[in-house]
Amino acid sequence: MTNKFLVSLTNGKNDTDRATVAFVVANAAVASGKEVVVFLNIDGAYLSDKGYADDIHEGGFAPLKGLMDQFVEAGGLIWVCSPCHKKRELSEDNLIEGATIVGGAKVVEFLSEGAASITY
Amino acid sequence: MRKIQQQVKVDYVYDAGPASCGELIMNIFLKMKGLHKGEIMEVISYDLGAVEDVPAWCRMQGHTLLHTEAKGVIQTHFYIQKERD
Repeated sequence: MTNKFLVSLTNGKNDTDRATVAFVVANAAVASGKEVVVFLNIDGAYLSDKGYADDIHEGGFAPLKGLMDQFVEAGGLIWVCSPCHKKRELSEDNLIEGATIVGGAKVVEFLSEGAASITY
Repeated sequence: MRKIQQQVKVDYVYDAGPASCGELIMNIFLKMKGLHKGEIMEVISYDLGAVEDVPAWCRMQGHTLLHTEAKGVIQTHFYIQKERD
């Protein structure tokens, strides 16, 4: 059984339900001892911008920023799609703690190592 | 040809410009096809993601990343030795 787990998140404020559930699942995985990466791509890239997630609080769930902070604190990794980030004119100087800008090859390598993946 | 670290010769310099992600990797792949085994390509990238992406691509392709050099915030030079034709 692989110990790697990738959560691909393609939504931000356009679908706060998906954005929140993605981090709930990512937290479950990291708390289960998995090596977990959340890949923020498409509109999910907005979540890598400091302050963006601060006011996202989906009913029935903890506030998103808290979930994201917990995830990083527990050892989870956040990767941000480079062209998605650039297209949205986000600044690398405003990246959230624990986030790294990557390209497709990094994701392909992780998946090639046997990572299970789920997309939101 | 020019030398880095007093020992390594560069056979080909590729300035990738603003290319990123899959576009950057495909461009490097195609340029690398034109080199012979053992030759070294210097890739100049202005993409922040390349710092993670290029080493990952080298690992997957079996090429050797000899050296990485950051010049300023956004410019990175990668020295890649082709390990197989």
